[in-house]
Amino acid sequence: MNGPTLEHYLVFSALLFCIGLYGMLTRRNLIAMLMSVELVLNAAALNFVAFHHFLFPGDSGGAVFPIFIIAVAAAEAAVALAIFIALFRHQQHLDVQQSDSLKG
Amino acid sequence: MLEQLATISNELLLTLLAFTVFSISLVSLKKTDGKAEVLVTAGGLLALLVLSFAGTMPHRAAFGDAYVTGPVAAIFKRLFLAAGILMALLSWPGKRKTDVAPFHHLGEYLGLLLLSIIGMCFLVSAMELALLYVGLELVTIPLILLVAINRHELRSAEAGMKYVLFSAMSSGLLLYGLSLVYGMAGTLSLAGIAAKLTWTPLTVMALALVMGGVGFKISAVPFHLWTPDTYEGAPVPVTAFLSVASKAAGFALFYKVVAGLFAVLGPSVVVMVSILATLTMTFGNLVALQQTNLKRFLAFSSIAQAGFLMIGLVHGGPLGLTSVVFYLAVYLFSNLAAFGVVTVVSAATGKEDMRDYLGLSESNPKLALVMMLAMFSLAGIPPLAGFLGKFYLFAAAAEKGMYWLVFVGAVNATISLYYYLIVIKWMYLLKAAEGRQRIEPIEVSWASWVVLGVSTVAMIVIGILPQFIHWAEVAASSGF
Repeated sequence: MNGPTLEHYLVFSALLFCIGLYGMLTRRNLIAMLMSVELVLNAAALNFVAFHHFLFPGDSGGAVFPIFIIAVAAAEAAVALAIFIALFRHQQHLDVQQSDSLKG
Repeated sequence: MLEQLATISNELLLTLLAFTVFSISLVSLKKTDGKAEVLVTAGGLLALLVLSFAGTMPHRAAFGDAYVTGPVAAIFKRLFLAAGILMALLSWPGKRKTDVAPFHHLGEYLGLLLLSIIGMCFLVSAMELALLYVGLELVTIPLILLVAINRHELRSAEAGMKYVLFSAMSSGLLLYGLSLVYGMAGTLSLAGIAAKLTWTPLTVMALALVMGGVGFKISAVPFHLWTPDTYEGAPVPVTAFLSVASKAAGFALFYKVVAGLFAVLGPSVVVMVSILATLTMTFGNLVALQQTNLKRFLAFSSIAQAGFLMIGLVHGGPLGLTSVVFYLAVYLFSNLAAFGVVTVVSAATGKEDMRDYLGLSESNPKLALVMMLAMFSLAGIPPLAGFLGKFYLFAAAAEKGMYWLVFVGAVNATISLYYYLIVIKWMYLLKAAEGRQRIEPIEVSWASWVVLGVSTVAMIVIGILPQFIHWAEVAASSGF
């Protein structure tokens, strides 16, 4: 009867967004940073679905957009992990604070 | 259906070209030297550029109005095609000392370049958020791979890492902002959203998020942190492409999203954009003063140029759009000329520091001349095109009544003149040997001469002939 409402979803997605942003700014490990980015992307996808379900059930755009987000996030993760592997082969660690060969 | 496909024929042909280039290096059994790939890419893009005047970019809506190529979008697409041709030619595998472009991967390298151009073409035509987002990612993901394509080099891998993290994060910010916009408007179409947004705190928050996301793409301060490192670590032709085509696409996105969606927030948008413009110009200029590595130097100079471009965005009307489109064209050719010289010198000698250019005017007078003209055009000295471009940007801001912004722009143009002249000083004025090895006369391949020649002629012709600004004006008056 009293299932979760739109507000529940929005608060949840805002929390996801903030956790992702916080993780992006504080984590030093590249994999953890990538995970934080995925949280932010998922927060946006969740927003779209929630708005579609509660406010605009007639507009299919909100339901379709998250599929694009998920597909693109997968492509981005594949590229990012490939680059991380290439980087790991050079320096044997994935710590961003020690990746400072480019400086000016 | 057929008519819809005909509407996107430019993109379809580009896709075909990309897969042709990919397969050339796959099917050839013995190792190719890469010349066939470069020729096919440059020739194909040139053919598409010619075809674009014969109807491959019809002004027609397709796919439920999600895709429209307006006159401004057509100009943008031609600029992308031209930048693609010049970058493909810059990657011509001549006799080289260092691996500036990855020759054993030249097929993949050029194929990725083409994929990125397809993304840009979709991006400027998109009239709907989903297509806009997918187009944007189609621009970015191949560019990330291009930056990191010299994966056996630590610098390239690190540059790729920084680029991928920042671009993923900026996409996240942009998407979260767009999801809020969707929640307020209930539609994905740009025109539909613009009609439904009203002034609420949530709209302002969405605007801030969207501007943060787009700010990364055009490397506006304070979202510019990835730019210098990525530009320095990437192969030089990729850096050239990033600094011109990707930046032009970013500005198209900026205009579409910020000016298109948030028109209702008019005054707040103007304030935010002018603050961003001031920060970006000033910071980019002040840091560029201290650079000696030419790639980093050009990175900060391109940040400053993005600030100048944002001055034009302050004016929401046709004059603003005219000035931005015109300046983007000017900036594209000027920057490509500068990067062309850097590519040639770095390919022959491996030197990227401006102190190594000591006496370049004696050993390589033609290269030094092209570099000097490019610096003058970027600084905005008449009669080169950069002057006219800056003039129109300032005129747009003045018409809007933003005189303080014009003043900030003028001061910054003066600062930038100083550091552009430093490069010329090293090439022309300093003759005393300071124990530095001079650059020997460089043998420049025909392909590089084409790039340098075309960009130099474009810089001069666009600055003198009035037709170009007229075209931009006509296009801008009928909208994106």
